[in-house]
This record gives sequence, C-alpha cells and structure tokens, in this order.
Amino acid sequence: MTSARMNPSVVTDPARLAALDALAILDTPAEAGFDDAVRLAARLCAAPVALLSLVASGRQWFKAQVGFPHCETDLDRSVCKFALAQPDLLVIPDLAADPRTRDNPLVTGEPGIRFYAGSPLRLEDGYVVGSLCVIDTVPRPEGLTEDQADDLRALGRQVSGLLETRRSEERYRVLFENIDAGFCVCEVKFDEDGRAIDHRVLAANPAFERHTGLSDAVGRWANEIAPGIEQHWHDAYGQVVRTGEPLRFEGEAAPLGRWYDAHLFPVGGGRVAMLIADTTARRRSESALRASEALARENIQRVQLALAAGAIIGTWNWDLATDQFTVDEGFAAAFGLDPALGRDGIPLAQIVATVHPDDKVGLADALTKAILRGGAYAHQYRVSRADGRYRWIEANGRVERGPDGAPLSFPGVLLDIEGRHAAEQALRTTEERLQLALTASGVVGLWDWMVDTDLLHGDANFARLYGLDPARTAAGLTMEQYQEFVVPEDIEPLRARIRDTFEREAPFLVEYRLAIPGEALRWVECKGKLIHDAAGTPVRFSGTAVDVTDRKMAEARQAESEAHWRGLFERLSEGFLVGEVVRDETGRITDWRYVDVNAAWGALVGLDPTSVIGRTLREVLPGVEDIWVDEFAEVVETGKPVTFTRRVGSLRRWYEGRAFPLGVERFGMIFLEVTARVETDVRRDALLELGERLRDLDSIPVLVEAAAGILARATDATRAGYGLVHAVRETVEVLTDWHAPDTVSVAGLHGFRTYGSYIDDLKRGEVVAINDVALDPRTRDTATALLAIGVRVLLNVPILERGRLVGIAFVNWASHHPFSGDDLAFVRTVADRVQSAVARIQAEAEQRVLNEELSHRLKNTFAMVISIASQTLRTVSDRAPVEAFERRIHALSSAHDVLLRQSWAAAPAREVMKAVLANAGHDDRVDLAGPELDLGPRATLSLSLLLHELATNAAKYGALSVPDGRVAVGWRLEGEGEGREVTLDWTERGGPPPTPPASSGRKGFGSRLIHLGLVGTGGVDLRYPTSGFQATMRAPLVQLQHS
Amino acid sequence: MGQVTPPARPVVLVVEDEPLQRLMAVDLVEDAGFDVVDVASAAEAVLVLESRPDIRVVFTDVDMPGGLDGMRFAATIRDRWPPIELIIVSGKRRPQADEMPARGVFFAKPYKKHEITAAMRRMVG
Repeated sequence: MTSARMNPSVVTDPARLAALDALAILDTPAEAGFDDAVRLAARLCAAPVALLSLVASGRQWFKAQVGFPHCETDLDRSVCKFALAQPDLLVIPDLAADPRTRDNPLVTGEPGIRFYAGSPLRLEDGYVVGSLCVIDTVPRPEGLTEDQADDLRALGRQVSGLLETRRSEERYRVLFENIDAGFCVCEVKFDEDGRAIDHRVLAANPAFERHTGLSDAVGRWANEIAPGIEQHWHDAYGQVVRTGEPLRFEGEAAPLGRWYDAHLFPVGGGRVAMLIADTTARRRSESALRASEALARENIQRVQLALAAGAIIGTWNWDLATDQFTVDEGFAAAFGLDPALGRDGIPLAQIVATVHPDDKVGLADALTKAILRGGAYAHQYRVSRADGRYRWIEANGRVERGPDGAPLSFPGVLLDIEGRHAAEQALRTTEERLQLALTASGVVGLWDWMVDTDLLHGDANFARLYGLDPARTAAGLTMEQYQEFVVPEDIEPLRARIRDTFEREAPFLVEYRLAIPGEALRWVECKGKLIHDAAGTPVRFSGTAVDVTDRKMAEARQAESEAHWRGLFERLSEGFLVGEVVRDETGRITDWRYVDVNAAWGALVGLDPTSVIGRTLREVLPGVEDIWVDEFAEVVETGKPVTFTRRVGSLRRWYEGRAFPLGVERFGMIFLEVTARVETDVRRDALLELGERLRDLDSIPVLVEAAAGILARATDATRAGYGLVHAVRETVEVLTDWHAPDTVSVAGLHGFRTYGSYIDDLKRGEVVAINDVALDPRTRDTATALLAIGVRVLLNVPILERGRLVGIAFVNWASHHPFSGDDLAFVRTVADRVQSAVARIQAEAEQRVLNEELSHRLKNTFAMVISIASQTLRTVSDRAPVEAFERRIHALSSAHDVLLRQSWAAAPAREVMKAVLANAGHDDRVDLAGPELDLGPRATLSLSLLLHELATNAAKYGALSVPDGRVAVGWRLEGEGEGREVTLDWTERGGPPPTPPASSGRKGFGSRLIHLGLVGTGGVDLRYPTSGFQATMRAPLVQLQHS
Repeated sequence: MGQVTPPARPVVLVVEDEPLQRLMAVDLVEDAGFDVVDVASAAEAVLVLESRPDIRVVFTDVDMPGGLDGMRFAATIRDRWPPIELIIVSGKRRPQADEMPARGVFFAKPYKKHEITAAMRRMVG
C-alpha cells in the first residue's frame, strides 16, 4: 500500500527542520512543563507509555517520556514520523496490522508495541516538529475514547504552545547575543540594613565581555571579578530592585579602567538587567579638554585667556599703602556687596566675612605670604554668593613693590572654578563610599588549620556557617568534627580536594553542602592555600569559606526561568526593532519594513509602536534621509554589523545605535536617542573652537564673523551674527554675519523699530526669544519685514556695558525651530565671550595708540634737549664734550626705541645691544653672543649708556680705533633661583695695547658711567692685558629684570 | 659793470613748527655751508617755494599741526617741483617705503646732525 506510506519529503523538508532547529531544544535537559504533559497523557489515555517525540533528520528524540527506556531512536523505529503529515490525531489501533508499522522492530521485537495515538505538534507557521503520543503493548481496536482523543489533542496544543514560546524566546535571546551593547542580568545582595553590597552576573551576552574585559563573569559576584568595584554600582542595582524603576547614569568602573553609560532596568524576581556602552574614549576627550583648560590657566597669560574664555568673575585692586580695597561690579556681585561701595573702597574685613568659615584662615595666611614675598598669588576658596550658597573661586593676583621693595599694590582677578571643584568633591565622596563598603562586608568566614595540632580554627563567621559555637571553633576542632554535617556524597570530593592540595599543591577551591539539623540545606564555597615553613614543609592550611546558597539557588532558578528574553525586549528603554528589507524589481534594496519594534522604540521616535508593524520606513517617515535605508541594506547584503550616530532631520532627533544582520533579509537594531548629548557635544566643541579663534584673531570683523559661523553651525540656524548697537538712535550695525547659502545677509545698519518693539527688552538686558515672529506681540505687526529677510524664529542676546546696551548676538531660523534653555545659555555664553574679545581688541588698539603717542613725545623731547644743548653750547670752543653729550642722548633714545617695540615692559638684551652699537656706528665690528634674556626698562637704559661709553672708548683708543680690531660681547646666566646672576664680558682684540688710566685725579663722566655697572650699583672689573681692554660686569638677574 | 657776484650757495628750506628745533636746524644748515630759509608750516613753505626758484633742498618735519600733513606736503613738492631734494624727519614711526616720495631721505628724531649734513651735501654737492 504505497499510497498509505507517507511522503518521506515531509520528514526531510529543510524548512521544517530549520523550524525545529530554531527551537534549540534537541538534547536539552528535561523540563517540568513537558514532563507534566506526557505524564498527564499517559494517565488520561491509560497507556503505559507516553512520549514527546521530536522528529529530526535521521532520528527522533524525546524531550519527555513515560514508560520508555530510550531517549531517542532512529527513524526506522519511529511511528511519530507518520504523524507529521496528519491534520489531526494519528491513531493506529494495531501496529502489527498496519502496513506502515508492521515491520517496525519495536513492533516485531522488544518491547512489542501494538497501539499508537499521536497528536502532531504544529507550530504557528504550520510546520510539524513531532508528536505527543501514547503507546500501549496491546492493540486497541476501538482506538481512544472520545474524551481521551480530546485530552490528547488539548495536551498536544499545550505542548505546541510551550514550543512556540520557546521559539520566540530563542529569537530574542539571539537578538541579545548579537547586540553590540554589553548586556547582563544580575541578582543583588543586600546587607541587613537593606543596602546593596554586591551583585552577581546571572547571564551575559558576548559583547558584555568586550565592554568589560571580564571573561567568565557569569555566576560570579562583582566584588570578586572586579575587586574594588565602586559601591555606586551596587547602589544602582539596589535602587532598581527597591523602586522597580529603570535607572540610567554614566559611571566609572575604576577596577576595569573604564567609564560606562549604563542603563539598568528591573526584570522581575528581584533581578536587574543592565545594558552598558563603554564611554571611556569620550570621557578621555572630555578630560583632555579639562586638562588643556588647566594648562591654559598655568600660562603666564592666564588672566587674558580667562578673560577671553569668560571665566573671570571680577577684578580687584588693593592699595596696600592706604589699605584701600576697590573692586569692580563683578567682584561685588560675587561677594554679595554693594557695587557703589566697591568703587569707593571696602574694608577687607567685609570681604573676608563672606568667605566660607573653613577657608578664612587659609586665605588670610595666603594673603600675608603673598604680601611678604611679593609677586604672583593664586588661592582657591569658597565665598557665599548672593543666593547664600558657597561657590568655589580662584583669586589670581600679583603684589607690586616699590623701588625700595615695599609692597605698594595688590591687583588681581577672580576666576570661577565651581565646576572643577564639584567634580573633585564628587570623586572624594565616591572614594569614601567605597571604603565604607569594603569595611562593611563581613560575610566571609576565615579558617586556619594547624598541621602540627591537626586542629582547624575558625572565626565567628566561620562558626556561624557551620552552625557551631564560635568559642569552640576559635579554640580549634578536628577536621572530622567539621565534616560531621557535610552531605555524605560531598565528603569524598572534599577530601580529594584537600589531598590534591597537600600532595600536588593544587589550588584549593571546593563547594559542598552542609545539612545542619534544623536548618535549610546550605552551600559553602571554600578556598584556601598551604603555608610552608622555611624548609618547605606545610605548617598551616588556611583560607576562607563563604555561604553560596543564594547563588546556587539562583542558578537553579535561572535554568527554569521562562518568558525571560521577550520580557527584556519590552522592558528595554533602548529602542529595538527588527526590519526586513524591501527590494525593487531589479533586486535593489529601496526600503525596509518594520517587523517588530518594542515599546521604547515608540517613545524614542515619537510614534505609536503598534501603528508601524508591517509598514515601511519610507511610509512611516516620508522624506527620511536615504542613508537610513542604504546603511541597513548594506548590513543585510554584507552580513556585517554597523554602528551609527545620526540625525533624522524630520524628527530633529539624533540616534546612536547598532544594526546587525538577523537571518535572511532581516536586520536587528538597538538604539538610543542621543539628541541632548550630541547637542551638548556640538556646543562644547563650538565653545572650544570659539576660545581658540578668539585668542588668535585680532580684527573685530573677522572675529565676529568667526563667532557667528560657530554659533550658527552649533544651533542649526540659518543666520547668526553680532551687531553693535546705538541705544539712543536704536540702530544696530551688523559688521558681518554668517548666513546659510539660501539666506540673505543682514550686514549693514538697521533701525530696530523696523522689526518690532523688542529693543525695549534688550535695553533692560533681557534675552529676546521669539518662537514665531507672526504670533509674538512684539513682532506680529512687523512680521512681514522679518519674514522678508528670512526670520521666522529669532534669538537676540543683549550685551551690556555698564548697564548700557552696546551690542547683540543674534541667531535666526527661517522656519520653525523649537529651542531650549540650553540653546539660550549657549548663545549667551558665546555673546559674552565675543564681547570680552571685542573689548580686548579695542583695549589693545587704544594701548597701541597711547604707546605711539608717548613715544612720539619722548623723541621730540630728546630732539628738544639736543636743540637746547646745541644752542646753549654754541659758543663753546671745545666741541668734544658737546658731541659726547649729544651721542649719549642718542644712545638713550635708541634704548627707548627698543623698549617701545616691546610696549615698555621688557626688551631683549640682544636687541638693546644691537641698537646702541648701531647708533654708535660699530655694530658690524662687535660680535654678540649670549642666551635669550629680557631686560627691565631701567636696566635697558643703564646698559645702553654703559655700552655706548665702552664703544666710544674703543673707537678712540682701543680695538675699534684700527681697521682690523674687533670686540666680543658675551653674557651668561649663573646660579639658581633668587641668586641668579648675569655676567657680561666686553673683550677687545686686534687693537693697540691698552694703557691703564692714571689712578689719581678725578674721573671723567664716561669712566664713572662705566664704573656704575649694569644696574648702577657697580660690580665692574676692568682689565688691561696687551691683547686688548677687557671688562666684566655682574648683576643679579632680578635687578636686571626689575621694572 | 665790474660787480662781483659771489658764487651762489645752494639754498635749503627748513620747515619745522617747533621754534627751538627750527633754530638748531637753521644752524645745522648754515654750518654745512648752505643758505637757509626757514618757515614754521607747510602752507608758508608752499608760498616760499612759489617765489624762490633757487631752493634746492627742503628739510621738513612731518608732524606739524594744522594745514598740510608733512607727508602730503612732501608729496606735493615732488609733484610740483620735481627737482627739489627732500629730507624728512619725524618723531613718529619710520614711514613705509611706498609712503616716501621718490628720492626722499628719512631720519628719525632725534636725528644726528652729521648724518643730515652728509645727506644734504650728497644731494647738492
């Protein structure tokens, strides 16, 4: 009866076999649900045998069985394979009579089965993977009763349902195995006070190991696998268990040397799932930023930089001679003082009154030291601000001294360093908490076995673990006394481990059970090591014992946990989706379809998750960027996962995530919305760039243009700029602006009233933020004018100088653009910085004009002095002193020239010397050699006069009086610190042998000038060897550089 | 007629608003062996130049109050009286090369007398 035989292709159908494979059930341990089903089937059908048979290729395997000795058979012995093609129950009343089964060895031989009834196990997609069957050893001509048939069908459906659940579970488990984020499920351990003190990893995906560097983490406690792990991790787990609320934070795991963005959420049964992404690289770049800022502070121009960076709160000047302490408005505000008082002078005591009590002594100390020592001063302390809260500030100043060394004044600036201190404080708190956590853990029992006495001593924890009296364990008991309660089958393995340790030095690690009368079965984990004496003989064997009952129970629970992965998928706050690509007729992927999304997807995208299943991306988000299709198409085509951080323009949101292949034509994606973070990053980078540009640029229009461009890019605006305001005329002059390619520039002069009445707000110092110019009362009457220049949304930040409106920073958007408080704060920060930079450039320009004017007058004065002298001395017949006088005035003038080039502050020694020697007409015959050295203004003048005299003498009597003579001028620094000295040598050669001057008689002015030395205090040694005149002059560096 | 005309000495026009400095400049020019005419402003100088074709060198300060700025005055001379040589002094910064009139020579104040003398002799010697 060939037609009665089943088509063998049903058994070997690849799709059916794939469906079976996807269950991942073959060769797995017994499970209660399936066991219960076969037991019920046997009882209801009064059959000695019942099987849950899964028909694979080449064998049938029993997930559960009753009354049958084998766990699998080959297909020749299978009856169930005939059930695969059945729409309903397959009932064979007498197997020996049925042509399909009469030759089956199980029918012809042992155990001689004669009756079969099987319910095909059909999955939702129609594939039959096996059957739930009952078997009898006698034929049943009547088959099953009607009730029995119904019961068997019902049980079959039940089993199919269990398999279906398993399949969906398996699918989600695969998802989690594939995602790029580290994922784990943990249980939490609490102490008696309810504080979480540890957590244990129950399950983890492969990415977890990549993100943490922890292999083999499953089943182990965090304190064990990452010793020193911060208490805040335990606290976070504890909080999630207690509140049942998810928790998201960024935290450091110092033992792993990494930072994580962690998302924890409850998954029932007191367990917590965690998704982590390693953010170490981002943190590093942030800390590099902080480091570069710290470095900038160290710079000698720190005050200027701080000004450019907008970190200066205020400035002060303390006239030490009159003890008058005056401050600017910023300073007064920082200390909660009356600004008017600040201008007139405040008693220092009033300033100190606002300082934090803990910082007062240190501040007084630092001030005293600075005044006594002179020079730079920097001190950090807390002051009470207007709101009563203490804030960290850094005072930076400098004590200026008079010529006699007495301190004259003490000006400086206040810097805001609150952010830095808050971070340091948080770090200290974390460290303290870790210390507490370490001392609080007291659950480990300690034991110590003395070989010579054969007594094992245990501490109180150890005694508690064994249910023994601590006094007895402290005194020591024999090994046998401890082993009294060890479960009999665990004793031999325990002893074997001990033997191994003594005989082979094997590491001692063993788990065993204690059955203490009256208490629940307890699992103990024991670790230890041998301690030897100098001769290498073991003398002690000591270690720890820990109660691991909880872990063992959890492991057991974990094995039977159900509906686990699907639940995770729904509880994730990460968006999760499964997509299936859509191809056009040429096979190109043009779109993709939503197969599955979780609840979080809806929250992150802002759409109802149930509305999108079955629709495609382009239907759901019309106009979405092509890359959102192309990139996932590539994932499907290449099988390679990708990570992305990208914006969906129409949603104005940024997403960061990972897409990975998920079988034929499908991909999975897990992602987060990171709009806030990306925007923060963008703003941070923008401020960093701005800081650099503002430092480098010296022209106001170029600077404003750069700032406007940065502002616009960071706020996604269509136009941005900075304008100078004339408050009385109510005009704004926009020097340059940044504008999008399709937007017009507004550079030029504008009347404010043309565009609305909001200048009134600006004059009061209020930021003007208008969400829609057509609706806002300030602009709706002038909306046409604004819309005509492409302004739908506008943001104006006033810039005030002494309470007067002097400028605005503006940002325009051509279409609706919701902006946040962060946007406002960012624009305000940029405006402040631009204002500071503009002020700096203006101040520098004024300074330059002033310097030039001063120089001009000085030179004219020198010219006048020479004119007066030449008129006065016109009749003097001896012209030599008159000419010497004029030349000396010229030498002085050349020194001033060099000083002017350096804005009078300090002049490079080499340039001073070159100028004065050129002035004397000898620069081509004098060789200069020495290190870079800046001279103060006074030393510049005295050195110039000195060199002028030496050169004049050399030209008259020395090396420069003959064509081939030369002079070498060399200088060097000697000594360290305060005692550093400069030595300058003047060495002539190639001239006639010098003659020492007569020691008697009054010296001339030139000679006396030379003897005054570098700084007017001597230190001059003159020598007259035949090779040529030599002079050596010394002076302390501090005096040479003194202003 | 038997009259002996002494050989005409080159004439230098000194333009300087500061009287003391003007006195010194006049002495300087005379000591160098030239005839000198001195005025206190560029406007007066133009009047002199229009009436005295014998002026060979103009020795001028460039920062003078009122009327023509010294550099523009120098440029005017170069345009209207191309043969005249120019010596320019100033207490301000040295002018850029392209600001200087052709053949003009610049000295920073306070200048050295012998350098001015040498320059004048080079120009008309």
